[in-house]
Amino acid sequence: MATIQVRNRLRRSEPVVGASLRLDSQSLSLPITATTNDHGAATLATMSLANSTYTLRITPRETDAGPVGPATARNATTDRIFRSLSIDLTLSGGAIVTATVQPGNAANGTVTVASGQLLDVALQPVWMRSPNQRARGLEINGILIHHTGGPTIGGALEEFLREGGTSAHYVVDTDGQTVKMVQDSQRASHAGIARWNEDSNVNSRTIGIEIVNLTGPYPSVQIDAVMALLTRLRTAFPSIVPWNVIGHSDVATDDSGKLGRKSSDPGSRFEWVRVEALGLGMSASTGPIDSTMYGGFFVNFASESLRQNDNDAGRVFGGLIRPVVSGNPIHDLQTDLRTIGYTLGVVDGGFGPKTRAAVEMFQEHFFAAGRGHKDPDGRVDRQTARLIKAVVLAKVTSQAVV
Amino acid sequence: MRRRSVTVLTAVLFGMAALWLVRQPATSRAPSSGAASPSTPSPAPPEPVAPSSPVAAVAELVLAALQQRNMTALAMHVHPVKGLRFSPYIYVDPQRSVVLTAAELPRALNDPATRRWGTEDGSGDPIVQSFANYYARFVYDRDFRNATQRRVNEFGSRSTTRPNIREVYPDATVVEAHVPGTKPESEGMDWSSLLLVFEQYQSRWYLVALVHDQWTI
Repeated sequence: MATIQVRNRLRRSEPVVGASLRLDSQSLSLPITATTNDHGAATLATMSLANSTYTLRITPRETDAGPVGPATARNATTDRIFRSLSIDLTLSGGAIVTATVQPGNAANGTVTVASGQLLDVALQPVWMRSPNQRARGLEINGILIHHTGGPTIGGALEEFLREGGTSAHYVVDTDGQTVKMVQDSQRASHAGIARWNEDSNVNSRTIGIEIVNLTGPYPSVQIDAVMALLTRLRTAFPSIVPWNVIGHSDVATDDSGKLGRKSSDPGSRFEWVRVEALGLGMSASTGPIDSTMYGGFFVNFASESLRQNDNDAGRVFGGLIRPVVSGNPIHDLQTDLRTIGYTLGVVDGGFGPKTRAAVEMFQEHFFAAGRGHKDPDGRVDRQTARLIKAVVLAKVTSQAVV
Repeated sequence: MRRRSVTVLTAVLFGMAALWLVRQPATSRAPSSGAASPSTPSPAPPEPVAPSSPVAAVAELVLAALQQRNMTALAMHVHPVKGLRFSPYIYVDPQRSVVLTAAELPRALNDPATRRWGTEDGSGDPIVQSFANYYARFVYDRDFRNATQRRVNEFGSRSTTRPNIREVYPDATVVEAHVPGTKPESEGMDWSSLLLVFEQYQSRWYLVALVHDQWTI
């Protein structure tokens, strides 16, 4: 007898119950079958089998072979969906000698020979229902990208499975494997208090993608998986406005409407250029930018920065009273940031903490992955100013305005 | 600048004292009873505080009071003017978080009235709870008194939530008690921290905020 123990690959303590096992080979007149019990275990009568190679096919009660995306678990009534797995087994004297996942099945699970009589199989989940969801009430119009701030997927899954915790629709692991946890039609708990384009219904409006990443660059296989998921989502939901594919740090505010509650989310190593290459997310126009922007401040003071406490009323720009600057550059700056979608409260011509936070979050987004010349600091130097103008131009000239 | 320098120097000295205190066995300070629970022993009488006590020593007394759910003892350490702010997350919202005075604390655990303490991370729902429920979830949800990790003024971000304590309390000294995650399946992300924010007032350290930190989305 051989016992086959079948578990959730990403939650090893969780058995896969009701999975069908089918052991087959050319030497068998009939396949040997079994079903995993409530502990995820099943036994196969192997003692009388010839020394040979066999195929063990494990089919969970609910399975899906397609890419994880909008079609996954669309009408699911169960809490789990796993990949099916095919394993090559070698038996000798009825004992398991070797077990290997068949070619093309590597993403579907793992297998380990614990002993001659015990095989440990872990199936890749594609759907693990989070209890933290509710009806949207509004049409989807965007996608919010997060990173976990943790090195492995387990902690995020546990948090999303905890009643009363947070959740995201999708979690993308470092190896590119993706788990869906909330159906797209439902509202997940991922944005918290947030605002984008003057809309505070960010949770109701967006799909949340959580990427497993503590710090440092994202592996290319993981970024590739995120891009493929974004493409599938955009195809499935035409109501998604490309401009509204943004990061958590772009939208997370406190109760007063000040941005910056979340920073580095998805952080300075996230490759927004890859998102932009899909025609999604904010982008910058390559068209000409008027050098006299913001009252000509940068024409006169090329190496200076607009900063906190500057204000139009007092003609304070770059920390000093500068009568040569014309117009209302802080008002213009605030209007531009708001046009892009950022939240900063009242457009009043005063560069306060909310404006500074909006600038910082803008820099965090557009200076990520080596695009910027400095760390986000909330100061508008000439490069930041040109970039803000270029992004405004891209939004205004695109058809993708909310 | 001079004031900041003095604060930093003080913090360094007191940080060393805190590390010393961490290494002392818990049994030499007080019996351990774990995180706050209904079985927590009856509150002990408040321990007196010498005006010259270093912040690390005051932090120990605060943690003891919190562990014992002794709000009368805790009240002795609350800033007489600023009161005590409660923040459920490490991003402190100075406009919307709850501030209680020392006089309000002794009866707080028995007060069934609910307050809005902030906003849930993730869902964005308001955190509306009684003091006792808030206390169990966002103040003493772990045995912070016996936390194996203490840090003084080194409260870097442990998740995606940005710490802004220095913006709200630029001259404060912050003692963090950190309890690492324990559940194997959570792979370390079920950690929890309690940050005690102190300010000096009339040459004595007073508690101005209790800031909770945990992993959130």
